[in-house]
Amino acid sequence: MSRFAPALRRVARELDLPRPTRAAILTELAADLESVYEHHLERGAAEAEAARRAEERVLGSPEMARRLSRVHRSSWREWSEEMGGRLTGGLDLLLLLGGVVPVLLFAAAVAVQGVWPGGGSPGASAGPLRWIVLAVATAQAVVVGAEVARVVGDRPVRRARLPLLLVLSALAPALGGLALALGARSALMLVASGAGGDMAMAAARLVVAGSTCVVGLLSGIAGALAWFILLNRAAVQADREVDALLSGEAPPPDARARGILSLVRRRSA
Amino acid sequence: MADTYDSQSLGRRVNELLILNELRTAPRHGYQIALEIEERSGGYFPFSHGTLYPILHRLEQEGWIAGAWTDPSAGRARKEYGLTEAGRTRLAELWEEWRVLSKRLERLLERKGGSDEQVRTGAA
Repeated sequence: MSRFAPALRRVARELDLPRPTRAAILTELAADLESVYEHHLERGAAEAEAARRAEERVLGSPEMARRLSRVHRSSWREWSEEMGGRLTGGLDLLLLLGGVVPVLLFAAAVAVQGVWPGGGSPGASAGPLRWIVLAVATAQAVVVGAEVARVVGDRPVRRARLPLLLVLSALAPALGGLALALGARSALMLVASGAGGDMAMAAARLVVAGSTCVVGLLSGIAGALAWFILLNRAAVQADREVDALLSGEAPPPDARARGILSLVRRRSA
Repeated sequence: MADTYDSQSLGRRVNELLILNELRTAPRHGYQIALEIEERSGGYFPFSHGTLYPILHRLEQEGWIAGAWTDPSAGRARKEYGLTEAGRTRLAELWEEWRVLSKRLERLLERKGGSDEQVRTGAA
């Protein structure tokens, strides 16, 4: 094991960043630690003293890792990861599972019933948007389901899939809103025509459009929640991977490509 | 360039000036930058690496310096930083800022009747 592995592990735990960024920073720090260590050895310091000075100079205080994290993290990601962390905390998780989720499921069931063919009033025409919203919600469910299956199977969350989930989560309420706007416009036009039967049709269209909007909104909320939780899960996995990387136990493939492992192992030899 | 003195960011800009100036002649590794600043200043600027890396990474994000990994086959993979064209412009700006600041400060102190020597020794 590298003489600096314990110190680097401490830094790694403070570096709340995506794995490639974190691995690159740790590689840089590991290389500079060795260089400063050799610099002090050349100037006559004993090995232990040279190592102590190198750690002191290169790693400094724990504030360095926090500063580096702030430099590399967007404010949006900082906020979302904090939220993700909170959602997987004890009380927040209980509130989510016991309060929010049942309400969301109930509202979703009612809304889907309105959107589903025959679910609205007879003669209602919702147009193609409701199908698009349902398709987006289904795609979202597939993405979430696939990642949950990976988590259950103790495989890493695919970070690359998370932006797709976020896009779908934003798309669903946007389409729902559009459906509501179009439905309201169509209903108003029917009401303006003044016929009695058209009023019932207008009401039916509003119900379907409203239900489509609610499905979109709920789908967006559910997708965003899943995104927060999966992101947090990915961060926890990254911590474990970095620990494995530093201890030379289980190298991630991209770390091998970057030469990180060879660096750690060479110094351990 | 700012027309008024910004005390909040003075330390940050001095650090930027020191680092960019250090990279003016040749690319360097992080540890080299800190050690050379310290040695060339006779220990006056004990540049902590703990401060250095966040600044280096921010300068890299700003596009004022560019980091590149050296070939690991030649030994150890290291990240080397070099000054970009934008960095040279930034360095010139900071340098000019510093000249203006020191000149204005000097003039102000002189007008108040405080010479360099008096300011340093605290004499009235």
